Amino acid sequence: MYNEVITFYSKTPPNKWVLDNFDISFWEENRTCGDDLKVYMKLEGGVIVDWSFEWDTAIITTACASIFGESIIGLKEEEIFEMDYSYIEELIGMQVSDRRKQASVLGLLTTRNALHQHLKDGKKDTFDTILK
Amino acid sequence: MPILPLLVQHPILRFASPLPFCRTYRPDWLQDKGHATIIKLLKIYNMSSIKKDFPIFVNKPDLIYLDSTATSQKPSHVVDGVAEYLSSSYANIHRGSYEISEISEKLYEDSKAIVAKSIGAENWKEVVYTWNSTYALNILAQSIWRTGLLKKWDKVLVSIVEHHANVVPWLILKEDYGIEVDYIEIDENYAIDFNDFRSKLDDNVKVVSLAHVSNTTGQVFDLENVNSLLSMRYGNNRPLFIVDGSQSVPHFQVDVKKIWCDAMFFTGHKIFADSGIGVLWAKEQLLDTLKPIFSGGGAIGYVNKWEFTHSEKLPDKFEPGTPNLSWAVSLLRAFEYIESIGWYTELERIEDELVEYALGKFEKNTDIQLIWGKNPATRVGVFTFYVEGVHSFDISDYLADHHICIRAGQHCAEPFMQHQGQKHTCRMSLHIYNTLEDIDKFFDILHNAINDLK
Repeated sequence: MYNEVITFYSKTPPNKWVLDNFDISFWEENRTCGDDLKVYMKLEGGVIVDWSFEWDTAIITTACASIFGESIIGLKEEEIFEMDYSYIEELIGMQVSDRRKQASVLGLLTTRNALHQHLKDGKKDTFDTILK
Repeated sequence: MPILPLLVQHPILRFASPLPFCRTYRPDWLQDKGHATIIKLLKIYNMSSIKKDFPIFVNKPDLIYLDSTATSQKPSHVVDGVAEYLSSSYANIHRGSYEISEISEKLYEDSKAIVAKSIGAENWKEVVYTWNSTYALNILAQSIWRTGLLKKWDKVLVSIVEHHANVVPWLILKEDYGIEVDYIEIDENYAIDFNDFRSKLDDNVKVVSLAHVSNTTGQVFDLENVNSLLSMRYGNNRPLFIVDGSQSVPHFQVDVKKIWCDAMFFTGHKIFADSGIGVLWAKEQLLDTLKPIFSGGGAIGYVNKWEFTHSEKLPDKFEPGTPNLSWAVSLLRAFEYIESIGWYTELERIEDELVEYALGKFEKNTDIQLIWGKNPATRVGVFTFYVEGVHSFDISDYLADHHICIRAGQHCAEPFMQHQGQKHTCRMSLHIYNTLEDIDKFFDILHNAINDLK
């Protein structure tokens, strides 16, 4: 069904737990695929220094969220808002079918909305924002 | 195989049918030569006669379609029947004085007549066409409010297993006008908990609206007992009794006189017709009383610049605008097809065999948690299940990769899923074009999926 990267990260996601002493947490759901996901982040001076997630998620959601979370450690908050589905596709090295695209970006969407809430900028992203 | 050279030499395949419209199909894959084509030809040769009636299985012989609760496949009698209508008799009805308009009108009425006959209705004028079940109940619920048969603080009872089609329209009335909505519990067999039902029947209940069959558990509700209880409790002043027949009419003969409901709705696409046509049946007396919530051309008696009257004719009063003519024809052809295979007697026989076989397989697979009651005699071929430790969408994706179509999610029954504590489940559902081999293949691949995904 999926490539080795997806299979590895879905079976042994290195960042699927509840972060200790997190600064932000945010929950989102993908009703199309019956997934929901909560992310936790630690920030220092506007830089993401740690990230984790939890909840009952399907293979593609788990793998994409986990790989995404690993990739953003050390990035600035504003860099996350420049990311969309194409970033995820590059990370996982394969195109996701249309019916599972929302699942693949759930981690990204949740992280963006967590940051919006943290920044109190009054914005909330949707799947349309990221999938364009 | 002596038949095979003939089939290869004569690539136009014809599948005999007693019905007039069936044409030949030349599947796309016949363009290819070679081993794969021969395998597909063999599959079709060995296909059940019912399955051959459905062109999608000829075009895609590898397809194992187990999602009929979502929508049913269409027999060639429906596909060709609609094409024939659109290409030789299509015209608007009610006002045309030329031949094809008269033919269209006859077909439209024949469509309603066969629906009325199928559900035991008094006459076809009690049959209103809508777009689907959801629209049917939305229209009915709003009409009931508009007519004053429901007021603020009045109560509507539904069951906890209802499809959203029979939940949300009442919640809209709750939100807008302050009616109450309450839920009847189910017992350990996923049937109506009649003790709970009795306890909730009070003087504020004005509508009882129930599924005949759950689209998740497949359980058939004992609506004759519901009717008896309503009569005993309320006598002649009973609440309106509405039935969601969306999952019963496709699977067994429903008689609205036996249930003694005031209204029933179902949708054509689940019983072999095209998507886009729903049926709202109601007793003539109720339809006469109800004020429609939509109106316009064809549904009015009189209009001037400032006022209008509703049509007194049924069901015209509830069908403004140009009706969904070709969809009505598809529904007519769908019921004709059921007649041609032996009516509901044969439909139920086939389904009973499939259900018994599938239940036996489910019982042997302890990995699979089936959400069902224990009584196979009171269920249809709808099986909702989950596997601990494996996400339902991963199962459905895995099966899809093997051309097996099932559904994953909450099946438009979120109150029930919340009641069960399930965020996602899989649903496999059967119809007459399925075979025991389909069920075997489903379990084989499901078994592999569980091993690979856990």
